[in-house]
Amino acid sequence: MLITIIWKEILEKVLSLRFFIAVLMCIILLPGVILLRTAEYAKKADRVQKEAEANIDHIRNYPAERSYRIRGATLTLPLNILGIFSEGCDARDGTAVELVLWRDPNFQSKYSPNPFVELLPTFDFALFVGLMMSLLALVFSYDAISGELERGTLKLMLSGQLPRSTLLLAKWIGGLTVVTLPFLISFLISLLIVILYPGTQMTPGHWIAVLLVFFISLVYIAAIFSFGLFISCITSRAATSIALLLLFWVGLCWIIPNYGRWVVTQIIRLPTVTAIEREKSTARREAEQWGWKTYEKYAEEHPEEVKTGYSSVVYRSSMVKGDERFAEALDEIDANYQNLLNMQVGLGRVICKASPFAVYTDAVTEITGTGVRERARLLQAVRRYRHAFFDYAGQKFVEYYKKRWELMQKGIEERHEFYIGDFPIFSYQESRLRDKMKSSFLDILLLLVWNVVFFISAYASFLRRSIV
Amino acid sequence: MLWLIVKKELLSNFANFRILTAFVVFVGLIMTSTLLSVTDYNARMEDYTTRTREHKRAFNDALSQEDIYHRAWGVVYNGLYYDLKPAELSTLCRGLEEKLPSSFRARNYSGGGRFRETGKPSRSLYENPLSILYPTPDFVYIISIIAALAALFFSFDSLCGERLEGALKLMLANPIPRHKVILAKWLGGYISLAVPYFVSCLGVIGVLMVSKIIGTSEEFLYRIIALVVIGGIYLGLFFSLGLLISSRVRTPSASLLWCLFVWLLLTILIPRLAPVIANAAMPLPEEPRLRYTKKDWYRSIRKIDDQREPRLAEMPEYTPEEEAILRRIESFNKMRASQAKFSLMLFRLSPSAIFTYIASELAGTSPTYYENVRSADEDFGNEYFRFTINRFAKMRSDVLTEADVAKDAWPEFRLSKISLGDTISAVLPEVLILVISNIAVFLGGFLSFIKMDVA
Repeated sequence: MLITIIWKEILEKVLSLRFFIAVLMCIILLPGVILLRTAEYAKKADRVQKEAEANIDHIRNYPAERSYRIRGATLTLPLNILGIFSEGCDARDGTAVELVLWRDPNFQSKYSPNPFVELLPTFDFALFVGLMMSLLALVFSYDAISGELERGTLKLMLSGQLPRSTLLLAKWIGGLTVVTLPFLISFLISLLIVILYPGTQMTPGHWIAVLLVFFISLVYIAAIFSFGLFISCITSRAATSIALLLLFWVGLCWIIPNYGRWVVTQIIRLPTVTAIEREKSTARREAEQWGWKTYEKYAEEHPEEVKTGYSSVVYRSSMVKGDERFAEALDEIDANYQNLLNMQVGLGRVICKASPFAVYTDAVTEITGTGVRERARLLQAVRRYRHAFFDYAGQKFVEYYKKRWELMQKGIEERHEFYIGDFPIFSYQESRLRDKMKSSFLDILLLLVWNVVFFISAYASFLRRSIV
Repeated sequence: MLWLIVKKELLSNFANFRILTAFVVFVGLIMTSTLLSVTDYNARMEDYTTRTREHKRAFNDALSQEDIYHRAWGVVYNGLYYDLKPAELSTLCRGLEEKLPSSFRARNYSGGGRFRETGKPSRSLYENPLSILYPTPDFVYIISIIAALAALFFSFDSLCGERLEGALKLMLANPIPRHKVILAKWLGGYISLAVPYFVSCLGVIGVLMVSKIIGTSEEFLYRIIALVVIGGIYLGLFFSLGLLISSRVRTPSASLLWCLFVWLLLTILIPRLAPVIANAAMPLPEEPRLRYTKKDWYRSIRKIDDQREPRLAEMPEYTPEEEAILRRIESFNKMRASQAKFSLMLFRLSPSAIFTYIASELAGTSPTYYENVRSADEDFGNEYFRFTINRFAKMRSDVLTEADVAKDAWPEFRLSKISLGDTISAVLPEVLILVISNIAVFLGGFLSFIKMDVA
């Protein structure tokens, strides 16, 4: 019996105009968008690879040990292939980051060659599912019960031996199958595009992540579908049902996330960039003075070393110690700022949990590594690398002068060769899939819970409903 | 008779809570968004004032020293700053201002073409990542997306709904010409949509005036009024679209489905895909850049220095290599401009994109503004680079004069102002497209209603 109704449900929907529109949207739009994004990725990946190698060569060929310390390094952030599916707030976008001794890592943002690109947000897989597929799910579910009620067919159907629960379940399964069918096909085509496009390489980890994203998308679509079914059960006209659903949709997908995060930024105020930079420059001056004073004190206490010239080595090492102090101060200021920012982001995310769209976005961006957490991790890695690089550079700087002093003691004046080839190289390890799954577990669970809650509500209201 | 039907329409909209919903959508959303915008703007403005004050003080301090060499060195040591003032009307349309840094710094060895940031460039360490995920819901965002859907809500069932109920048949059985009916339906529906809209717009203007953001400046007032009127036309277009669909479709739910599809296409798909498609259709090569390093800087100084007196007073000329790069930059810029033009052409397929574009032009946060800032920044960087080379050569040859380091001798960040006239002439084609499509859609609805089978 169940199968018969599911089959009837599928046939009925497949032959309708909305299915045609859905197929058109899925088959043309999603693969098209994925193709464009993959092409962009491949072009960028090539450039980023070259740039990263050039950066390392550049440091290797630095002429003098001194400029090595002062001038620092440039690193190119890696790219994330899963960014094709969801752009999120990815920081791994091939930006060059300049590391200079006395400053913060400087992200060299470029002007966009075409400002129209920046005027509106982009379109990717996550947005396609988040907005388009959720709308389609509503379109396929809004009249499941209310429509049949209006036409009078529900009365006929239920006058037989069919239990209401079976009917509802059949509607759920049938409708959902019809929605996900075009989605599945277009998803497979998109995957094929990503595989076949020259210049893309997916690891098994990426495959699992993509499959997981697909699974989350299905759960999300099902949750929205169940919601549509529920509203359809409590309204008596199809038009009312879709109008109500649209209202909810606008509220949940557009208003809650956008307003929520904005309100939070107004409530929890962050210190301005100017204030932070002022603090940092004060710290810098203090550290510089501290280095100088330490040296002066040492020179006063050890006048014999000033005579031998060893004090110049001490001078350099106290400068390097000053750098370290500055780096610590920088870390402290950043940590304070980061705490506030984390509060802002955390509260924003909590508010966004009321919106299935935001929950879905959160989960997908976590899995694809384009989310809030991965971004923070990457920025942390850049900061850590800054430490490692300048620790190394400072140590080499002091070593160089020590050796020079030793040579001068032996009467050798000229500059000596100095090996700096073993400097630390920036490499970023993406967080493991298990960790990503762990952090998005709650979101997936929430989507599943919504599924169950809405379906049960639909069931309860459908059981009680009078069908006259 | 006409007014009778208009009145009936208004009353029925009252009865089924549509006007109430519209009030909630317009007044609630727009007013909250404006209030948030105002607090946000005030914070940005405060930051801007402190920053400019500090930068000015540093500049003046450096120039107040006795020795002219110290003066020159003092300024070069700090670098020259320019702070971008937040646009007053960014409270209504954040536009591209969000994507620009808030301060520019010219330093002795960085060429133009990249951010010498001290403020907030896009995607920096300081940014809240959620603001990348979820765009700011400003006035223009609400009108272009949410209010457009609300406008469709007002008209999607006005004809097919009444036909289904049989009311249309009864009405037309009376001696009322059809054109009057459709006109009255349009007026009735549009008034119940427009009243909440204009009321909330008045509220917005009031908030902006009270918070002294636009003060009593006439230009801003004209700009806001133009924005409000164009918003009204934009909503009218969606309303007419709903009417057109309603006259072509049998049931209200089918009508709503079509409306939804059209809305999706016009407000989300086309605007967001247009730049991506433009980029794929007219790909750009790697951007050539005139990039100076500290080494180049020293080398240039030495080169001029060697030649001594005669050429010192002039600016250093571009080398052949530099000129070649400049030519490449020029051709790249041409390609860029044609890509942008193509994007704008694709934008014209969607009223929502047109509206966003017009609004950003009116608010002064448009692509034109972005391009102006970009070119001003590049000129600023390049000019500063060449300026310092010249002055250092003079310093080395001991011919530096008072006038060389005077306050107004230093390069300036020349951001050209976009006047109201420029804005109007820039957006006129788009406004016309909006008006013409409005008329066309209304006429389409009109004709299709005249032909409609009401049985």
